[in-house]
Amino acid sequence: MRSVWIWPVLSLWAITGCAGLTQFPVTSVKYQEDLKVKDPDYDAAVTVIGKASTDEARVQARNDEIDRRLRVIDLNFDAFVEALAKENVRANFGIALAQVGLGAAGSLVGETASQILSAASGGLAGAQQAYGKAILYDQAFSALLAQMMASRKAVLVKIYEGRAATIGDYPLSTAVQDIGAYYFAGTLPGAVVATSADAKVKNDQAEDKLAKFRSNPFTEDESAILIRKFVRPPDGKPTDTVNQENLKRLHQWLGTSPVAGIAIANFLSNKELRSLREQAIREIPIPRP
Amino acid sequence: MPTGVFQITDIPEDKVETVIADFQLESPQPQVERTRQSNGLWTVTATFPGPGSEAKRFTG
Repeated sequence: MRSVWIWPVLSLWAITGCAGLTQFPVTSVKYQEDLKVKDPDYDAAVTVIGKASTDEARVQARNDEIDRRLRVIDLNFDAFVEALAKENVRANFGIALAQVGLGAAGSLVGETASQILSAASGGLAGAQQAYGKAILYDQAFSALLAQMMASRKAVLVKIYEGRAATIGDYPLSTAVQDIGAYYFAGTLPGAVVATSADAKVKNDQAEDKLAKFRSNPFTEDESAILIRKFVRPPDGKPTDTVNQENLKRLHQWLGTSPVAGIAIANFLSNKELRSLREQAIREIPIPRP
Repeated sequence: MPTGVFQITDIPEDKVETVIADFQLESPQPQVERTRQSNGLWTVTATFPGPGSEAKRFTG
């Protein structure tokens, strides 16, 4: 969880630069007074929970506060998405103007689109480029929206689990932190952070997938021999000269294969990869004698 | 392009040079090391530049 928050902080630092950047949140020496001013609803809920005479009543008071906050966040999120969609539509409308040569599209896009969606708005020139940018807008918007929905749902599951817990296991302070995460998940920076985190997970998974192909006992079959002969004709012996063109084709095929990143030596000697070698022979293609 | 450490074990004596030549098909070429196993077969280890080259990451 900690690493999730590091990226927005670093991003903010990168955007604003270090000069003049406020480095610490405001601290307080009058917590009760500050809480009444800064989060009166939380203060009131804490008071209700404190005065409740039964565990059931305390849980009910906590859950009431959770529900209030979730509902407000959801209403604001719906309005936010609606506005974002309109911005996206207007961005595409601006690009359409550029396509028919009416001009001024760049400035229209720049005025209306959100920061992320307008990131590629500069320098529209030509229908082909405009079309590409329209696709980019659509994809960026759809991807970020999907990420927001998924992240919000993930946090919401945690909150609902907490609602069923006792006040000791899931105090209001923890619930409010989770609700803060729920809110952040429904923001564009939150979606970007989540997308980055998701990309890292996928990268780690890809690396793990390759890990099992990093070491294997030596085996040799006809498919391996045929590929060696293709790369080092005519016999595939270590002393035969490498055919660079054939080697390049093998590299290209491997680069798009399920075992991209594997060493050729392991690809050729791993018993489990025989069917994949046969596939390479068919698709490169490598002629059989 | 491979990065990090790759290894092939249980290589018969007459196939060691073939395996080394296979590892040398990569660019950039790895550092290759051969060691004899207690059963007389060979292990060839190739270390490619890049992530993971300082630590072996094998599942087996």
